[in-house]
Amino acid sequence: MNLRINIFYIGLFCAFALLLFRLFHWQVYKGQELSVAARNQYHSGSTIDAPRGEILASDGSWLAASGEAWLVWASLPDMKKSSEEIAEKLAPLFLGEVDEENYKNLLLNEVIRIRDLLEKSGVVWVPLKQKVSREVKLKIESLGLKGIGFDLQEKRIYPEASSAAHILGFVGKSQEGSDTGYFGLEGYYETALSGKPGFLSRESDAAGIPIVLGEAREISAIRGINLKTHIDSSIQANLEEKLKSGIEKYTAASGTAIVMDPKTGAVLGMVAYPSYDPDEYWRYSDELFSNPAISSSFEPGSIFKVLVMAAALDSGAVTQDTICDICSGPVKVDKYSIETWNNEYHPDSTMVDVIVHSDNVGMVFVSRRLGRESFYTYLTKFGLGEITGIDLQGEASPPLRDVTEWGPVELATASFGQGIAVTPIQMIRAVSVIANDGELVIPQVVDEIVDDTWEEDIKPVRLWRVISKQSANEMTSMMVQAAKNGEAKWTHLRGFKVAGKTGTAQIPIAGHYDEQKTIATFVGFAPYDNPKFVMMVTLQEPSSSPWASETAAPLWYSMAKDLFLYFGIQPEN
Amino acid sequence: MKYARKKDTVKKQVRFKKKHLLWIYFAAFISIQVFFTIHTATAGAELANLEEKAGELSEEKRILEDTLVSKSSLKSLEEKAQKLRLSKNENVVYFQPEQTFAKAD
Repeated sequence: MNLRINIFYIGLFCAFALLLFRLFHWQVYKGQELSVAARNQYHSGSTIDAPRGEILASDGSWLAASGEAWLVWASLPDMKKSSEEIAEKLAPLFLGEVDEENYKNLLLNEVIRIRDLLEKSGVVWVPLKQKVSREVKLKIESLGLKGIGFDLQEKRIYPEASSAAHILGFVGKSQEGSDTGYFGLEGYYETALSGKPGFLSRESDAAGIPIVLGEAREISAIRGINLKTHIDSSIQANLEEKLKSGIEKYTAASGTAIVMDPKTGAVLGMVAYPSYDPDEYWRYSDELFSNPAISSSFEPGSIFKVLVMAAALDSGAVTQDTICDICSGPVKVDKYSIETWNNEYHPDSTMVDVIVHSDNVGMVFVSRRLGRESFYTYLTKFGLGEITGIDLQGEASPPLRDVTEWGPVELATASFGQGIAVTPIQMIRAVSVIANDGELVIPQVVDEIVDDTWEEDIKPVRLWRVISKQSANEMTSMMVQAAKNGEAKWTHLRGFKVAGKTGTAQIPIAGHYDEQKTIATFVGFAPYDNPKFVMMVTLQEPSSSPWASETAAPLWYSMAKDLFLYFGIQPEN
Repeated sequence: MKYARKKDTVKKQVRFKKKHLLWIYFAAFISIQVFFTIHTATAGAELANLEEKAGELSEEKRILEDTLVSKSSLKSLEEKAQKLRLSKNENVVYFQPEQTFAKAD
C-alpha cells in the first residue's frame, strides 16, 4: 500500500517537474521571442497620408487639385488564375488611350510586363500599376480576379490641362519614389504643398478590431497648405488661346505672353508656347518643362529703348525736347556703323521723335549723353542682371557684363537693346517701373497661403525707386506717342489709352547676327494714366514677317482688346 | 451556559455573514470585470464601425470633389458652351451715356 502511494507521489512529482520545466521553457527561454511574435500579430502601424495642398486661381477655381487614384497590387499566393491570363485581362485596362497604330505593340509589352511581375520568385506581393483611376479600378473589380487588390493613392489633377502649365509645374517622383513637385509653383512651394504624413500605431485583435484599452499612438498628418494665386483664369485662357493662334498665324517657332499688375507685381497671366500637359508630363520632352518666360534670355531690341530713355530723362542727361545732333545719318562707333532699322533718318529729332521712330542713331546719342557708368547703374536699378525673385522654380538671369568691360560699341548697341540679354519677366518688370510711377516691384504669382484654419496674405513688395515720378510720366507720354504714331500705329486701337513700344531684335548665332531670324516683341500698359495691366508679347522667329509691328504688335492689341473689356477700360472718346 | 451557547451562535452568525459578504464582493468584482471587458470589446467594434463609416464618407467626399473640380473647369465650360452653340461676341460698341440708343424688348 505504501509503495503504491509512494509511486503515485513520485509520478505526481515528475509530472509537476515536467510542467515546471515546460513553463520555464515557454515563459523564460522562449518568452522574448513569443512576446515579439504576439506583438507583431496584434500591433499594427500605418502611415496617415497628408493630402497635397491645392493651387487656386484668383477666383478660387482650381488650377491644381488632389484627386483619387489607386495602386493595383497582386498577392501572389492568393491568385487562382494563371499569370498569363491575369496579365491579358489587366493589360488593356492599364494601357488606357493610345494611338491605334501603336496599340498592338504597346499591349504586348504591357502583357509581358505584368506577367513578369506576377511570375517573380521570392516575393508574395507585387505592385502592378500606380495611379489608376476609379473607373479602371471598378472595371478590374468587375473581373473578379482573386489576389488582386487596391490601395488608395493621391493623384494630382490639372483641370485646365496645359493652360498655366509653366506656372504650375508638375508633380513627379523623387529618387526615393515619393511624390515631388518640379518647376513652377509645384517646385517652388514643394515643402509647403506636400505637408507631413502622420502615423498610427495600435493594438488590434485577430479580427482586426482595435483594442480600445491597448497601446495606441497617433501622430496626426499635417495636410499641405493651399495656394491662392493672382492668376486670373479668364485672362490666362485668353492669353493661351490668342498666343497659340498668333504663333500659327505668324508661323513663329515659339512665343511668350505675360500680363502683370504694374503697381503690385501680381502676375495675372503667363503663357509660353509650345507647352505641355502637366497631367501627362512623361509624354513630353524635358525641354518643354522650363518656363521660357522666366528662364530663357533674349536680346530685347527696341523695347529696351524705353528703359535707356527713362534713365536719361531721370538723370537729366536729356529732356523730351533735346535735339539729336547726329541723327541725320548713320553714326560710326569704333569700326562699326550704326544705322536705323529702316534706313530713314530724321535730322534734328527730339527725344520723343527718337522713340516714335525707334531711331537707333538717336539712342546712341542718348547713351553717349548718359555715359557708361550712369547707364550701367540704371540698368542695375531696373533689376537687370539679377533674378526678379518671382515665386516660380527655375528662374534664371543672364549676367550683366561688368561695367569695366563696356566699350563704346557695347554702350552703343546696348542703347537699342542688342548685345545685352534679359528674360521676359525681367523686361516686363523693368517696363512696369514706368507704369508704376518709377518704383520697382517683385513679381508675385501667389496672393494668399490658405490652410483649414488660417490664411496669410502675401503683401506686394516694393523694392526701390528707380526713376522719379516726373520721369516716369514723361516716358509714358513718349510711349503713348510711339503707340499712336510709331511703326505699329496701324494696329493701334483708336481711342484707348495705350502706352507701348515695339521691338524687333536680331538673333545672335555663332558670333554674328542672323539676317532673317528675329525676335518680335511688343510691350505696353493701359490705361496710361492709371495702368490696370502691363503686358508683353514675344514671338520667336516669326516667318510671316520679321517685324514686331506686323506680328507681336497686332497680337498684343488682339489680347488687349479682351483685357479692356474685362477691366472695364473705356476708350477716351 | 445558556449565555455561552448564545455567544457561540452569534459568533457563528457573524462568521457566516463575513464569509458570504466576501463571496458577494468577489462575485461583484468578477461581474464588473466581465462587464467592462465586454464593454471595451464592443467599444473596439464600434470604433472599427465608425472608422469604416468615416472611410466611406471620405470616399464619397473624394468622388464629389473630383466631380466638382472637373465640371467647374474653364475647359469643360468652354466645351459645354460650344455644344450649346454659344460664341464669344466679336463686336463691342462703346457709347457715351448721353447718346440715345434703341433697346430691344
